[in-house]
Amino acid sequence: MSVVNKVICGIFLCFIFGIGVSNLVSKNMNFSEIENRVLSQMPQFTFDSFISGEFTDDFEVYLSDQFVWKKFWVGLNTDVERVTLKKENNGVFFGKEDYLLEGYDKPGEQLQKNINNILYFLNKAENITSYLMVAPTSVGIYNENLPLYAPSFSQKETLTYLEDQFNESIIYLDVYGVLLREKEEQIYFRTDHHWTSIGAYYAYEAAAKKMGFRPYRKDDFSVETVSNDFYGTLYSKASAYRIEPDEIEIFLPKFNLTYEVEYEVNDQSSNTLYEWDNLNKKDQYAVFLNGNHSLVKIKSSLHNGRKLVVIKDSYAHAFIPFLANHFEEIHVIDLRYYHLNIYEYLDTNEIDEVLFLYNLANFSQDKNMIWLKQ
Amino acid sequence: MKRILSLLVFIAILSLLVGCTEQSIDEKEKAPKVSLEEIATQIKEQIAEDMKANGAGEDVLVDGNLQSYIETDLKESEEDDPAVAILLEKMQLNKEEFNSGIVIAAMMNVNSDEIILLEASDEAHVDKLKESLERELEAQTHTWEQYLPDQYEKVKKNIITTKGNYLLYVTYEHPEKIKEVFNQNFE
Repeated sequence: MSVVNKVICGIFLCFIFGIGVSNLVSKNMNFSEIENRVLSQMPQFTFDSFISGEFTDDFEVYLSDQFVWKKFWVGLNTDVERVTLKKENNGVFFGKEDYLLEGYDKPGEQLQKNINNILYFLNKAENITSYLMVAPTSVGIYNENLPLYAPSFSQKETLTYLEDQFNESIIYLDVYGVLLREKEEQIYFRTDHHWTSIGAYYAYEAAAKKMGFRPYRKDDFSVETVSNDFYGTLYSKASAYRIEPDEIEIFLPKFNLTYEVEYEVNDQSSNTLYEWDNLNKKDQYAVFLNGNHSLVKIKSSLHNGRKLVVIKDSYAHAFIPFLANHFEEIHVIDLRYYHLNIYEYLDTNEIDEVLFLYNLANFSQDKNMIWLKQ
Repeated sequence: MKRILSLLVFIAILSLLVGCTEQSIDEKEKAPKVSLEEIATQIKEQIAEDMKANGAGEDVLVDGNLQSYIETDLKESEEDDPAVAILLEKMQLNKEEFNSGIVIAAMMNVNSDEIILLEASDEAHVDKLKESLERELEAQTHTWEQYLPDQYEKVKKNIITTKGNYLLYVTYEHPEKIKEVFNQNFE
């Protein structure tokens, strides 16, 4: 055997057995920060699970999740895809200027169902003043950053359709125009599917008149950058390595107002709308209102008697810090987790204003608005 | 030597074939020993036990009510309990297709736990009911996939299983425990 052959043979053997052995000796990981998911652990062996085939299925997943140097391989895969001009992963497009954009599909029947659920609400809660704000997602505003021929349905068209369907039965808060106008600023995160504080600010400013208050100006707040290493949900979804992280900015009022925030389920309370600890976790967007809760009550030091319920998805988290400056009480309800009777809630707490706040992608697909039909 | 070898090859092929066949269809079980309500009670006891092991107080299960969970009897009238109508519509279930149905789910906490028990009114409806459960799994996936990886993990481990006319849907930290409780009633 020539030397070359021996070398090739050696490399080959190292590769085959080396990786096999490393797999055996490497430590199991619990959580993949980059992908934001829990990794499978060694399944428990039982006779039943072996016969039914569950054990072997689980074992396969376990092996691929715990593969040695997983992070490196996944990264390599993404690099290869980029070099070979792959423009999409898991429904997320690698857009221009380091934008990750999630495509918006043409809405199906769920959109109509959700419209009907809100119409049901309007009919049943007739003494309530109701507002609706549906925010476009980043792909609706920055669609020129999409790669060539990447399919994404027009959000403007859907929003116009929405407004028509409600036909003035609800106070419709249009924010598409203003967001489009201010797109030169960083109104959406590049690596996350949410809008930023400044994006939410423009929506607040645009909604103010119809909601009956005078908005604060931008320089009534001091803007602070609280993070410059935020990698959001789109980044996790697309495994898009080698992209610059986002910054998170926060608008702190210069005027004097205090808040009392109560997270009902865990009986936690706090005097700030921000939960700073979350900046050290994976999902840094949870700095706003401490992330996802089924019910959050915010009492401000204002005494104007205005009480509002916000029925929402997570776009509300960045928005509510502005809104809280104009209401005595805000009760934030997330229908994904809150399945009790909403009409009784409005009644008991003597609330007569309701804001529905969703992003368009969620509004088109979410299956939990049906809980309005109590 | 040759014979032994061919025997080995034969066994290897046989085991391959066994491995590749669909799961056996000897699921034609008879009815369970107890009612669906009773199975639900056993399941709640299992959950209560797990909650206590995790440090919950002694009063997690009082008079059949599991703390911070809500139980819906799908056979009840829609007027008495609006949640019935919601769940039927959400899963596109038809009341005639099952004799009894129970849903146990978190009431208002950020928790993806959900257990559904159904007894088909006729063998012919089992597949249709199973579709409804798969629809629910799709909805749960959509609700939980974006954030909260620990809750989504439970949804990913979801089990849908059938015994004769009986169906079980489990999204739970230890779904195999619930399945075990369910299966025990059919032995």
